[in-house]
Amino acid sequence: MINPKDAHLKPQPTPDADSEIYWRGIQEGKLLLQHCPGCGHVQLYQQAICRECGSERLEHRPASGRAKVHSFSVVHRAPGPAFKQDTPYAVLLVELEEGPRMISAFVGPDPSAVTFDMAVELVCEPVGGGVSLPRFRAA
Amino acid sequence: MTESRDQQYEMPFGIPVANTFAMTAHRHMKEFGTTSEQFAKVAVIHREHARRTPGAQMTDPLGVDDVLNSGWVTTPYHKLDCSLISDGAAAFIVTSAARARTLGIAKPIYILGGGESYTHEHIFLMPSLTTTGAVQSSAKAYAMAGCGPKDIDVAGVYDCFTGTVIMMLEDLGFCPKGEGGRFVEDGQITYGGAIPCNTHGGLLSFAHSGMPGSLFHFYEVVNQLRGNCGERQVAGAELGLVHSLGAGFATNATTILGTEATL
Repeated sequence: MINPKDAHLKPQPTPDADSEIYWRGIQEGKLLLQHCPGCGHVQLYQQAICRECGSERLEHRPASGRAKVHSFSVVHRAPGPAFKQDTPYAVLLVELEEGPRMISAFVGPDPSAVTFDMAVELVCEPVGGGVSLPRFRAA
Repeated sequence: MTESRDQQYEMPFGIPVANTFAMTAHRHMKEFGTTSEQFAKVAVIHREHARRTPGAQMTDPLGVDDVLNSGWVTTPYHKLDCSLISDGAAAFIVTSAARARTLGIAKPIYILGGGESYTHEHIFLMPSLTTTGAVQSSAKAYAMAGCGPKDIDVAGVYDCFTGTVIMMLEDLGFCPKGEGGRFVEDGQITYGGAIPCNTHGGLLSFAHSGMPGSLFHFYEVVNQLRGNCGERQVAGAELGLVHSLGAGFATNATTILGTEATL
């Protein structure tokens, strides 16, 4: 929940023990996925165990950054004052080349340019406070 | 209450709750050709139902064009594709059949079956955007009750957004996958149709007061089965279904209710 006094601030990711490496990677321009050498599963959601087989031997590997738009929605009514000046903007559900899907935002002047299955590529954008976000632009 | 949007992987991108549901509806349009007019028709039918329900929040007449011209919230949803914000409360009492008899309850309604399903935590982990855990939850409920979707006389289907209803009609087995839009367009979810749904007007037009939202669906279906619904009564309603969901389709629960005659 957003504290009302913070409503004008955009929520930023707070890395935890599981996601620290992921967010440091984003800052360095890399999207680090967790690969399971045991079963071959690839996951975005950073955690200690493989979501498929439960193995604890996960390896971080950078994603290619290539993805396609699985679904999207152009936001006209912002979820709070912090995002109001950005409307309309496109929130994306992209499917990475490696398999996992992730929520992101479209980088580009015209959110109405977004279409289903459109090819997009990763762009890690600094948003202040030493934090970068993994966003996508038309490939 | 839990927050269905992930703090690290979703919230920083400015994702409203409506957006998670909108993305499922949008994908449904892409995969099955469902239209904005069909979504709007869900809202129109719910409004017609609410107009007959004492205490409903929204009772002005509504047409498809009114929905399409109500302004975007998050595509493909307009303002009137979204449920209401309401104050309200609802309750029901569950007891044993024996105790209900002892108390002399005139028309006890029986819980014939129930099923739940939990498929994911967040929308980006949802296995399919257009087929939900309602398939599993309803299959369990039908099996327990010993009936199928064609046997149900009246339904309460969680209607947080118009597209949610269309997807649930498919996953609950009232129509084939991908045909929910046409099913609604053909008037199958109102009086005279295959399965009258949300005869009180639902979250879209009766009220959405947060947690009690789905309890109103139970309240309405129980009253339908008791024959208490006056001019909005579904004639001969004996078997009812209530479907609730939450957290961007992460959680699904189906309940089948019946009168004494269905035992």
